[in-house]
Amino acid sequence: MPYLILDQLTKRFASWTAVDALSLTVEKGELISLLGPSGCGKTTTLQMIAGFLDPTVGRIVLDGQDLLARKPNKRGLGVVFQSYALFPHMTVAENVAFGLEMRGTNRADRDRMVADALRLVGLEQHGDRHPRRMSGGQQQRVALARALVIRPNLLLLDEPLSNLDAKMREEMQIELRRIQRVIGTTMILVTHDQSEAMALSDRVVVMNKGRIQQVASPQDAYDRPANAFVANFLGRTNLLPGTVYGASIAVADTHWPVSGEVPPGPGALAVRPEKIGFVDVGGLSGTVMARVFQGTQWLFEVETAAGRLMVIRQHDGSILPKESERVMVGWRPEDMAVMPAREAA
Amino acid sequence: MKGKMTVTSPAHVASNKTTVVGAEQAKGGTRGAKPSPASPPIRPSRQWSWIPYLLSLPGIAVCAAFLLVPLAATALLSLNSFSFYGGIADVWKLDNYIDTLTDSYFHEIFLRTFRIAALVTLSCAALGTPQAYILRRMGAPWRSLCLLIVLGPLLISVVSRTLGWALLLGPTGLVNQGLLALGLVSQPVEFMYTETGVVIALVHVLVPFMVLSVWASLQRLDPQVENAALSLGASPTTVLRRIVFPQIMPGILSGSIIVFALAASAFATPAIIGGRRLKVAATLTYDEFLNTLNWPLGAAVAMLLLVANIVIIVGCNRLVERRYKQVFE
Repeated sequence: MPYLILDQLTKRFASWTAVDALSLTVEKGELISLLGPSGCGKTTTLQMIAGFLDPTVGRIVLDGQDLLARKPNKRGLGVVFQSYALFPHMTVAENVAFGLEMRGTNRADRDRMVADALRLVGLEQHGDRHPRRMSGGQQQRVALARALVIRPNLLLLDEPLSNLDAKMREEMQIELRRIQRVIGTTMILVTHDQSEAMALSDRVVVMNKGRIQQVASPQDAYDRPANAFVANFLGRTNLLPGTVYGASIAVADTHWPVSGEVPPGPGALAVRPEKIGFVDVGGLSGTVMARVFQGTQWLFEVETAAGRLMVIRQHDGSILPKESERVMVGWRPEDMAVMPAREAA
Repeated sequence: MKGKMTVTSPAHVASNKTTVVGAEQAKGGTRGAKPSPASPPIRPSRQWSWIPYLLSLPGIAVCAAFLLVPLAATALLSLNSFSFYGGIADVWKLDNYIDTLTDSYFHEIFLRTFRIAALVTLSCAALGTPQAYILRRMGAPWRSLCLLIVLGPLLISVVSRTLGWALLLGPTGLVNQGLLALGLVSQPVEFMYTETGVVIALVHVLVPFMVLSVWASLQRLDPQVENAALSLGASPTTVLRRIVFPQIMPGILSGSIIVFALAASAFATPAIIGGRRLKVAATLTYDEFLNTLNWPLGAAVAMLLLVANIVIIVGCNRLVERRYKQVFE
């Protein structure tokens, strides 16, 4: 039985549906990301798990127990907020100790556990400082220590890194991953940053307009997006219209083998720019319209019978076509994703 | 994000930290336009410039002409002497102060003034703080409606409002009729010409200042902080007591200072509800000036009220600021 079950979870507000019949299972010890643009319902989902919002319909079961029957302060979850939400009138140590105090942990144990938690996030020297005098990254670590010290059965992270600068964000990503490995807490991370989700998660849940678009490992979601939304949200992609005939898809005058089950009829083929190469035979023929040097790579725009393609090639010394040169482009069938036409809209 | 703003803009820090000073200025009212703090977080140039001083000159002039000069004149007047047949004599003695400070008649009046002010302040804090908190949590159409009701007393002229209270609080007034009808009392409660009546009427008009002040500090509260405390296992009452209350303490304090200062120097309400016999410092000053015509003594009482007010307010301010040091930074 899965550790956490979200079953047909729905949240309707007066004029719109924020989360629409979302079902998801999470295994113990897993780090899963809810990924999507703002307004896709990811934060609403998190708030329903935490208990700050009541779902209109649906069930949440954690470790075999109905979570909705319990008030938010009885759920035993750790929550890390986008704004950190530290208590400004308390020191770092008091912030971290608050949850233990609420649980009635005795003084000696409390001090030891607070010290352990601060050591885990690398702030053992900062216990008696006040959060307002700390940097964003340090505040985020305090928030993390405060949520982890209560040994939560589930840690919810709501855009935890979005207020940090790029360098700090990378450091915290590594830090989060390390902490997750050390303590093995099940974590749900809400983010709109696809690179953050891919870097941290075991699985990503791509959401749009309150619905799940795809649940897959980061690599799978990237390489084989279920639809155009996922393909575009997880980086740049080329989407080529075609026709599916049983085991192959025809794009312009080329045929590509289809694995998996896509119904025959109008379809589309998605392939990442960096997966496309210049080939001698068996590809789509076209003309290089533009090429741009980007340091580590070259960016090409190739006009073909199926439309314009973006191609990325590494700047590794190999000979690359010039502008207005006639070329042929191709890719390995396992690097593309095929979807029915309605998913490509 | 507000925190970051305050770090980069020194002017902003100043305006945040000294809400208290702002409160006193609200009381004065006549101090006029002071230069508004630079709102965009631009670092002021370190070079000395006379432009800010020049720009604040009109404000300083208004302040000096209408506040400092009359204040100085009152202070000088309070040193003069007075006799029924000789009138005001141009001497410089501390006699008026010595009379006031040694006479138990004046002690009683000052004690009453500050007792009323303290009770009004405590009642306003006890009423206004939850009121502001509830208002903040209200939905869109109701919030502005309820805020209007809270601010209502300020929109009514002091005389009609106070006479309204006189009607309500009288022996046959609506309040006593209600209490009698409910069987809570067996005979009418005396509200008119009592401190209780004065306190009720003052709380009514001064509570909006408390609500607005607490409201302002609630706006600075991160709404997620309450959820954070809940998720850590705190009960809703613990969240209020341990998390919300300490953070809105600056708002309660600045609200208390406004309310205390206004209550201690209130004139119309004690004059109408308290009547001629239940004197407070402000009505005493009025009587000395206009009935007894002893202007120097009236001036001395006014000066003492001002000094006592400042001492009490600054003292309390220090005390609370020390207790909740972190929140004020």
